[in-house]
Amino acid sequence: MDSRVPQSSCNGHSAEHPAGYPEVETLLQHLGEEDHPLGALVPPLFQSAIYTYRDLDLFEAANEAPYREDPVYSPWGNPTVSLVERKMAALDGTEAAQLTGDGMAAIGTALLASLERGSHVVTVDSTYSTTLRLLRETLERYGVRFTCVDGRDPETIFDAVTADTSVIYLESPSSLLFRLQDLRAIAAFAKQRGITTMIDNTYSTPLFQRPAELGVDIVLQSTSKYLGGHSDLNGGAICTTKERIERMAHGEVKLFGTIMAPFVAWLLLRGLRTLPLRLRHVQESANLVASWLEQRPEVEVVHHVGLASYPQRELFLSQMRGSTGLFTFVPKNQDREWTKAFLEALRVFRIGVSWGGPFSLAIPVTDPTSPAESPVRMIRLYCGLEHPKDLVADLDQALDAAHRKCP
Amino acid sequence: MNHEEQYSPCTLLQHYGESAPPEGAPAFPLFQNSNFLYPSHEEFAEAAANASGQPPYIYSRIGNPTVDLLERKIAKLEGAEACRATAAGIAAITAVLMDAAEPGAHFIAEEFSYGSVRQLCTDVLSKMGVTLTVVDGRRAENVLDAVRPETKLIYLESPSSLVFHLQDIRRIAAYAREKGIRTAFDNTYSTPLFQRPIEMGVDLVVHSCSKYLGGHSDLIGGAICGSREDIDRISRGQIHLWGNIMAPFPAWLVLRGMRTLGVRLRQHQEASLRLASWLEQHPAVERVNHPALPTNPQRELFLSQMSGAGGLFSFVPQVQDEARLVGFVNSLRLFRKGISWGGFESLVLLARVAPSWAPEGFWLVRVFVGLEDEEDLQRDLEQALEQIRPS
Repeated sequence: MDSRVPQSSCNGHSAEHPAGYPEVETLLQHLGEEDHPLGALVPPLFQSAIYTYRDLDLFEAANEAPYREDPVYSPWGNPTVSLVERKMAALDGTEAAQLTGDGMAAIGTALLASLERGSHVVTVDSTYSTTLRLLRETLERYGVRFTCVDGRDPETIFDAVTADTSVIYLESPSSLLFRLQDLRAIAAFAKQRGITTMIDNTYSTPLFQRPAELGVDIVLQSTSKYLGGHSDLNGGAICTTKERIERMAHGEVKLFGTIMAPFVAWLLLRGLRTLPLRLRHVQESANLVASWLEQRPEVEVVHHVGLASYPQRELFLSQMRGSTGLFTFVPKNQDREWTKAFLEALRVFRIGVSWGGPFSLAIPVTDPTSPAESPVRMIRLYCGLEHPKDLVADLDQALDAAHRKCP
Repeated sequence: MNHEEQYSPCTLLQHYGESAPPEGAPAFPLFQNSNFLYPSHEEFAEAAANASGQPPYIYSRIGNPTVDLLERKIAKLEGAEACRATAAGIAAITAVLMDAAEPGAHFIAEEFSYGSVRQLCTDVLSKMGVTLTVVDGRRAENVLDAVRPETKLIYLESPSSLVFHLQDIRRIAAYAREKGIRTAFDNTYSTPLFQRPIEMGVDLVVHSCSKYLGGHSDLIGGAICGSREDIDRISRGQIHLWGNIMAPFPAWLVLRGMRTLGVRLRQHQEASLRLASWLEQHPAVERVNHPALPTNPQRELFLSQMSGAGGLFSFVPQVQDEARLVGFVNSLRLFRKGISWGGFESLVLLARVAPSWAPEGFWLVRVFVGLEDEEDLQRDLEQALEQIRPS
């Protein structure tokens, strides 16, 4: 008998090729779960902070291993967290994954690990605002410069690249405007020049977009959204090569302590079980709701990648396998009073940030590319797991209510 | 909110009872605490005098906000006035039977109702002088003919365990109501999304929340639904005294599981019907017991009282040799060997049954179709069925 306690494998970072389970629905339920302790169907929650050994050689080998094959200390590798990391890597088609305590921890860790003083970053102007803040307010203080471009035409990105550019940071579809970047073209360009590409893939999840297969180096996710899927956890994931993950895990993650707690990973895994079903539902629902909104006289334009009228339709079809539950629309009435009346009349949609859970949400936003002195007001909608006919009925009555108040 | 009355079940799952959660948190908080405090003795005394499962809360054995939300949600979905969550499905069943028991009482149960019903009556309630008659409930007359003057409870489970036989709910419930006999019904197979027995006249509905409602094979729990009066009596007379309450954390997990109940059942239904239809054509299979199959002899009854069927069914193999059947089950790779069902993983169970209508007994294979890809599951069954292909 193995003298190590507990008797579990913890090779969370050596992602198995999912070949055994060609379909993601099967992989989610089975990969890495053939042999849980005591035959348990659901992996136990290893809340233990430390892992003890009876054999000194095994302990030293585990403790000194450049990478955590066996658990020693929970922040460096916990059996529950490692199982989910293995699953994330298989989903994203990368060698390895690192879970973090928040989506921003994944973004920050990956950026910090890829930059140094004097480095230059190219990104798009509709990147998630907190990511832009990290670049502008924190990384610039450490001597990192960045340039924002439109990104829909890959030439805008190529033109912004300088001799110092070490990272091209993508988000496709982007926040609020849901603009796409041509991932294959940009990744190929960057690879030739030794530039690291990374993407925030939270909107799509690996089910609807696998950027690593298109050549992107580092795939980042907020697991607080679809992956966790129940609006009850915060977390992030970095999926990339084993070599990069080992470096980050030993460096930034260990030093900043940006780890995901075991219970959060356990809840995340529980959420992953239903990811394909939830995505199928929100895709159908949001497509229906967005198409309906597009026809309404109160609506100027709907920004939703799943619409047939979406301007980058061809690129969408060539690099994504589906659209999800999040989109924005621009109301013709740009008064704040209209926005307030509309949002407050909603009953099923609630006013709140984030998305990806069971509950439909609505929030006022502004087009990040519109001039500060005349911002374009938009409404961001997230369609959750409610019945789409209840969502349409809710929007219908709220549009009417807003019209009555602000004709 | 009045609007909630019109919402579809998928929407109710996300919203019912949650129009004003603490701090506006849509993921309802876990109140993992035992007692609730009051600013003054008078306020405490008033709350304690009226303690029920609902606010004001005083002690989590009586009522807890997280458990209460789950109870209200299940009651709403079942179309019941009230619900009480319990520590296990079996706790719900036992509470209902104990509540109806008295010296000399007679119960009637469907013969394929969950085994604990018969066990409780034989091992425990018999000491109180309670007798039980089990019947093949496919014919409503079998149930009605078994009624005696001292019959206190008719216990139904439709579709039934292992063979998935249906009972005519409306007819049996109407007869029982006329005679003043209580009816109890295990609705775990269907969940309120596919069958609502209370609307068909049943008095009490029990659930194992460990199955579809929880949905992730990671909790044990039960629920009883019925009139406010019945639930209050059962809570006070059984649950509060035996203490087989549902703890706040499992209740929180059941609520979390129920967020996806609609999408999970849709997938279970599609995949299991596809596999059942395919198995029906397979030479190794004698008969498939699945309520939603067009070949189900009780097809009309299915259509009249259920709006769908989940992922659980059984089949009777041609080959009845135990060793070969064990070989079949052991050859399955994706279907794991284990009891229970309703989670994300496909499961298989080999069982020998000897009902009143086939006392010599026979083997059947119970299949639970989880959330894996249907084609992967079919391939798995296909390769394993080679073990029991009739020569």
